[in-house]
Amino acid sequence: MTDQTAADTPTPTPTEPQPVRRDLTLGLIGAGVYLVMIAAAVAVPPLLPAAAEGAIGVYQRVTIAAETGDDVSLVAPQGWYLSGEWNTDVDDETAQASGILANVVTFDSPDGSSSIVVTGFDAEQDPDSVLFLHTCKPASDGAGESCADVQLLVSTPGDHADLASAISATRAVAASIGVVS
Amino acid sequence: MTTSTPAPTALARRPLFWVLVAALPVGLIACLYLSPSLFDPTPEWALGLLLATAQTLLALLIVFLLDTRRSIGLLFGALAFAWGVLVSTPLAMFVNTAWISALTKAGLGTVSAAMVAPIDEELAKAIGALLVLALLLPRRVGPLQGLIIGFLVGAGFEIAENFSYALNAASAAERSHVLSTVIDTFVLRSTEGLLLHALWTGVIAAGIGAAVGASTAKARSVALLTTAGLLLSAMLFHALWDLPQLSTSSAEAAVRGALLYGTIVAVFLVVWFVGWRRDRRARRSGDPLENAHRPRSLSST
Repeated sequence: MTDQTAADTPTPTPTEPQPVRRDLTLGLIGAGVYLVMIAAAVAVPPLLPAAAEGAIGVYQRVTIAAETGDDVSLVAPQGWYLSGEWNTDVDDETAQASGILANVVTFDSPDGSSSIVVTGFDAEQDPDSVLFLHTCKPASDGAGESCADVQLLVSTPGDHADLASAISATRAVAASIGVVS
Repeated sequence: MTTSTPAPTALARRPLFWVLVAALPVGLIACLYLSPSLFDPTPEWALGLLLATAQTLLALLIVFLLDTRRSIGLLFGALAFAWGVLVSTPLAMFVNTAWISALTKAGLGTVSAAMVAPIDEELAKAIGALLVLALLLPRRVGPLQGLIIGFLVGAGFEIAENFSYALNAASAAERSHVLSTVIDTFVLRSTEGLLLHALWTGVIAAGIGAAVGASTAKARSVALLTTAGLLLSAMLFHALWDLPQLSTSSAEAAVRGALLYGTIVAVFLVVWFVGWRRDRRARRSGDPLENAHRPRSLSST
């Protein structure tokens, strides 16, 4: 911060722009920053997932085969818990109406492990639903927790990885960021 | 909050004044487009507005205590607060949503808020502070005036954010718990990190105030470097606050959050004290033109 005093000469200096010019300059700077923020938010995010896949250590995609009415269970290792939410690219109201959000249940089992149960998945209605799992484990020093994010693409039956692969991928992602060794 | 009012004709001749005034209804329309539920007059909406008003009064009381010399005019203070509510908020809302959605799809959902919000929100608020401070010229502008204007922009932003969060929480609550959910949200946002946005933006804008009011190229360069440092510090504090480790309900998280909040308040008070002392020193040095329209600006004189 500056420490100018009244003893400074009152003579305008070359660095002192005229009010109108200064106003326009600062107004353009402000508008420019805002426009860059908006343009970046519109243009860059659509490119990010593809660019990030494999490049960011916490990203994995696993495809689970499921049919209408299937119950899909993922059981986490002891000491872990899983939580998740559907990302459906539809608004909450539509998702609730289709029963998508209501069908994700998280619970803790007595032995310390946790499961996430996905029921009633309707592949025909929502063929490209994506389930994000946030897999967390308490930090070893007891302060907070570490989490790994795994994206599970639930799609129509076919040549897809099984649930064991999903768990394996979860563990691999978690290990990559140091949640587990 | 005011001791002098600028001549209306002088302000009316300033293009920046009209830019600021024109941006407010544009921001209001953007809010209406992005979140129409914010304008739906329901009982929970009225309760949220009441609680937001109470928080506004608290913010004004803090400004009253910080700006002991009443160096900020009422009009400028109101413009700063309105900018935080109507311009910074919808801009951050739009940009945050786009980036957090993308980062979540990329597998970074857990830390997306900590990555995105500090940059988007601090920039959205800082620009508002810059424009209002520039409009203050040729009145006295320095770190103290910057801190006050920044505090008001940040307070406006945070209170609008609280209002939005409360209504969002209410919309997801059972009908019988809607009003209590609104109260709970405001209580939570008041007890955990009260007016943090105001503190962050105040710290940044103290540097902006020094730069805007600088009368020499050298002074302005130093002030700009200082502003960059303060901006990065505020973004870092913001990112730490948004990390999920502080969002858990454990005792460790609570202690960590309290320590971080205390550090942020301490930094804010140090910056305020530096600005206040320089402002006092300048006034004691015999500047007879306090708050008068002068041919040129003097920083912290």
